[in-house]
Amino acid sequence: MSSPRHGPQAPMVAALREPARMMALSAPDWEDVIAQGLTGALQGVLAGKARGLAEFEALPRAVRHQFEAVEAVTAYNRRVLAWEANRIDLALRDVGCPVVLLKGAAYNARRLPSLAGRLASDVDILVPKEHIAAVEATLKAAGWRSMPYSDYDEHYYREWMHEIPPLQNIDRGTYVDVHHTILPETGRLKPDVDRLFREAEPIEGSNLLTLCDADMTLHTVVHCFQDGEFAGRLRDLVDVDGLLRDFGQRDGFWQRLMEASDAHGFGRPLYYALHFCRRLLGTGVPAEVWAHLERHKPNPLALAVMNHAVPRAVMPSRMFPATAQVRLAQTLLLARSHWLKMPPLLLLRHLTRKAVVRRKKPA
Amino acid sequence: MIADLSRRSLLRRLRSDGIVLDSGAVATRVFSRVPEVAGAILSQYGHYPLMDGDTVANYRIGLAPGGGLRRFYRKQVVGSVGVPAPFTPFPVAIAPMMLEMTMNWCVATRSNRYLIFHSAVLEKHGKAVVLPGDSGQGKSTLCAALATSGWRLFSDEFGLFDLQTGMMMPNVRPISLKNASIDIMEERLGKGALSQRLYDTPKGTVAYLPAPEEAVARRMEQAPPAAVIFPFYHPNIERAVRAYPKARGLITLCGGAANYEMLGAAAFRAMRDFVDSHPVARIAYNRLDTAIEMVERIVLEGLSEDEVATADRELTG
Repeated sequence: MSSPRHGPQAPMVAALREPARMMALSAPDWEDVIAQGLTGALQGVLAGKARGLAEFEALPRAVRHQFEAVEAVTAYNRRVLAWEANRIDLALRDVGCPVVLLKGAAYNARRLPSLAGRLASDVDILVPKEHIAAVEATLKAAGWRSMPYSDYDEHYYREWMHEIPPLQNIDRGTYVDVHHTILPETGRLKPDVDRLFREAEPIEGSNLLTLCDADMTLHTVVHCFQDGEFAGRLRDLVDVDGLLRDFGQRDGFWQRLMEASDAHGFGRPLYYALHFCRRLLGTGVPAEVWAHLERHKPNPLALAVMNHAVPRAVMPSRMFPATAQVRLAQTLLLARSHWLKMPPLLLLRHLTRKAVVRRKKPA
Repeated sequence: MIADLSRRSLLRRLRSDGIVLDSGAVATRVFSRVPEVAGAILSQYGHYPLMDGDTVANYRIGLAPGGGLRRFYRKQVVGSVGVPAPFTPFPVAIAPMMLEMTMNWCVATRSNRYLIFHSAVLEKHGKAVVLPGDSGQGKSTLCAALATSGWRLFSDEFGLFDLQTGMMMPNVRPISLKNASIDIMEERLGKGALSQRLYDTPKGTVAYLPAPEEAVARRMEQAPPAAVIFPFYHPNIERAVRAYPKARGLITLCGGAANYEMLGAAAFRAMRDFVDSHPVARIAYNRLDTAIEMVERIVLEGLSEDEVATADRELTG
């Protein structure tokens, strides 16, 4: 009998939700989980959860070995992220504006236990829009360079998105993404950027900041349900789940989360994120949060469509083979993400342009 | 054995459940619908065991036909590993090389529970010898000669040092021979010992020596390292052995280790202890039998005082 490919009983999802279920996985299921861990960048998180099991040594040898291998990779990744943050801190010290670490670099700086195995390739930072030119110039003077993009890509980033084209460090090859807000400027949701900076919290021993717990969670939520593509992005849900598990222990977190969500107008994406975290990953959410979000609940038809599409689309590829059904679900959700990111006419223009001109590869 | 499968049923498996190549340290499940890949597996891995349904492979790889018109005309094959990787399509005629490169990529990037030396490794008398070296200095040729002269093959490419046990771990795969060394080995071992030659590959002409049966059978048996020997084939030097200055040896080994930076302090300590506790030597030779003799002697008896005292001098005949 083969295991479900998606939904809460899919081996990958079940293992993330209840690590003890790993002990009962069949050999073919394990291979799927290992492959999905790779394609979905979740091996580190899985390894972290497996390490929590008393019976770790009883796991199949190849599984143990892959987890041990990925532990080496994640430990290295944590060192690299911390070092990049340190270098960015040093480079931007004289600009005199707040510099906020986002996403992976922020989770790393806060040493969040649930996300200890999470890999990140780039460092994302948030700076006030009026300082973005100074930040870019300063980084370029300190050893980062702009990648050669076409004028159109340049325009896409600068006019419509919420970041400038990625900067690469000449010596280390690492990338930094400089943002001035957390969602595209053209999108329907307009986060309260001032609030992000106002509530941001310093990192000890550095001039850098991270978003406060509520804003950090909401940023991950909108990254998942507004900004990104869904294809294979189970990891984004795992991020939200991890943040909720770690921050949920803190006094007043859920209250702060509701207030921040109201301030930014993120009720709908938060509803979806909590809904799918609970459904797939068993994330505990207090009743008063559900009550508070009741008015952001999507209409039953929309919810039914999402209930069908999201659990299928977020599953990372098992590599061999990808099924047509999953690809359809992913295409639908990609269309949705573009729809939310740009007004219809602009979207039409962008997609036409992208269909005609393939992005030039960096030289 | 994999060779018990007919070519047709092998191809059917490659299309459906994949076929597992278990090389010891790792097992790789290969998927493909390219007939030349089935041919490569039969010729290089036919004597490997047919793994059952309870096997969990470490990696899944695919060897896909090239896209577009290349499906029909001047067919190509390209490896895939589930994440972006730097493979460019090869003509199907050199599919065996694409298979090896794809498997190598997985080992080089994902077997980070080991410290990965860029070296050949073989074992005899329960002692493993590490033969590092850049390509062109004779590492693979010497490896092939040793592997067919009573030494047990661990790998011709990746020395896997198990940081938990302090031992070398086999990753038994065919030995890749290039250009002139193909003729040399064919002369030693006779026609038919090597695979068909692959011409015009990125590395010139290549042929594979399948791993000896004993090496395959004992692929799970680790062995403690006993010596590091940098081989150097030189037409004018009959026989020369010198110690390799330990500090320099350490730096060379660290520089060649694929995941040295990743493993950080643990890698440095392991390398330092490795170099401290075993002889590190350079040898030069113009005949393989001389080289085999020197390797055997260094592994069993270590270096002489004179060889250590002259560590800083050039290797000369």
